[in-house]
Amino acid sequence: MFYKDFGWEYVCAFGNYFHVYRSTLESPPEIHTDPKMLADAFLRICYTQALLVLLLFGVLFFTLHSGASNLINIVRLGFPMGLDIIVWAALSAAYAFQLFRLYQTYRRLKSGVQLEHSANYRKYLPLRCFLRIAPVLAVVIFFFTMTIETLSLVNNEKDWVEIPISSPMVSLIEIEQEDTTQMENSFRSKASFRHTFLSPEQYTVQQNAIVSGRKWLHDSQRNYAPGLTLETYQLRFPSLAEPLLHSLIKDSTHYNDCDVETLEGFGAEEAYLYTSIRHPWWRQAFFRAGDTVIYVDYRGESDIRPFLPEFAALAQADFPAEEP
Amino acid sequence: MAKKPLEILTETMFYVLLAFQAQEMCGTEIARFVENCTDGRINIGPGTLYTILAKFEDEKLIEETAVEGRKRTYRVTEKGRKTYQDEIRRLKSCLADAERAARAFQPADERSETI
Repeated sequence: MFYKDFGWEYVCAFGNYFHVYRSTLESPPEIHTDPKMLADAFLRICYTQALLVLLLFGVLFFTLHSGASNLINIVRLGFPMGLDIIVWAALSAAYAFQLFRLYQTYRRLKSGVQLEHSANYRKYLPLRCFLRIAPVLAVVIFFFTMTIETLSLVNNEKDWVEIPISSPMVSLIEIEQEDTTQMENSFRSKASFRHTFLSPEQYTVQQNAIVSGRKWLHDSQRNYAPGLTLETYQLRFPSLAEPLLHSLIKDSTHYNDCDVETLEGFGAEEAYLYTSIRHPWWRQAFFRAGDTVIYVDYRGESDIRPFLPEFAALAQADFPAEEP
Repeated sequence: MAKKPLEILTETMFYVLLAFQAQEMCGTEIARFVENCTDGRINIGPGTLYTILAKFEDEKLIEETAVEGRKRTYRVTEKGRKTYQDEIRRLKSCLADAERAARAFQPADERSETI
């Protein structure tokens, strides 16, 4: 209203800071005649923008380090998870660039230079459009990827196929050989095959059984129920194998509660056996050979060591057919 | 971010405060007064004036006396008068310093001529 007395009519606002006015006067008075005072307003905008940039980089950092979008899930679940990170990274970079431009304007105003009158709205138009769309896109992708994760990793039974006892190459039945007859009725073996951009060939096999008449040594109340999970990833880019292996180790082991053994002579570039100190019946093996990464999780009382070469050999073996 | 308290008046701020010394004024009257008072050297735009009035009101240098439609009239407070007087004193002392310094920089013969 105040501006109307000076011949300026209010049009609209852009965010909380930028207000648009129009005038029908031939030569309307300047709105801001003191650049140094306007500089103070720009400094306040810079502070707010800096907070936003920090928040965005915080989210990016969290996204990169959380289970939701780390390398394992990008490899497992494909591009949407990576897209999430790309959008957050681009958004953070775009807001940081905007902050840089705002700070430049602040410096110019502070030195007494007036703002230019002819603002070219086409300049940085794609960037400005991106800044408007990207936050919505990022949130949509975030929820989309969360749904994918939930569907494909947790509950989606249709992703899993029952596979016969003879698959995969190393079976829980072989490891628990002395109890074969007692296991067969309760034995469950299923596999999930996935194809993603970073890992075009990958599968997970889960095998579980209850051995009738046998109890766990550490808990005589509970029936002995060993389990074996095997994850195999063949990667599009072999250079991803090493970071994936270490992400898997970080994600699935308890660093401070494990004995770590480096395995030699398996034809693998890296091979480790982790044994839980608190639960010695829980062992995890990791292999990296060329473009293939293998993760074995065994929970049972048998000795898994004699079978490790066979797990390692999977890196050289052909991938199993999806239809057993 | 908390706003910085007013320490030194800018030139524009000084003239706005000066405008209130005589009488109550609304926005357009202030702008016209400053333009006349400085022979057109200083023009105050509505954006700058709005910011200054808001800052002065926050600092209790001025207070609103009447609102008629979109016209708001303000008058100076005691604190505003004191700030204005302090600023006058500061400017006078700046001027005195400048004159004294100018005399000191003058060559001795020119100084005696001046005297």
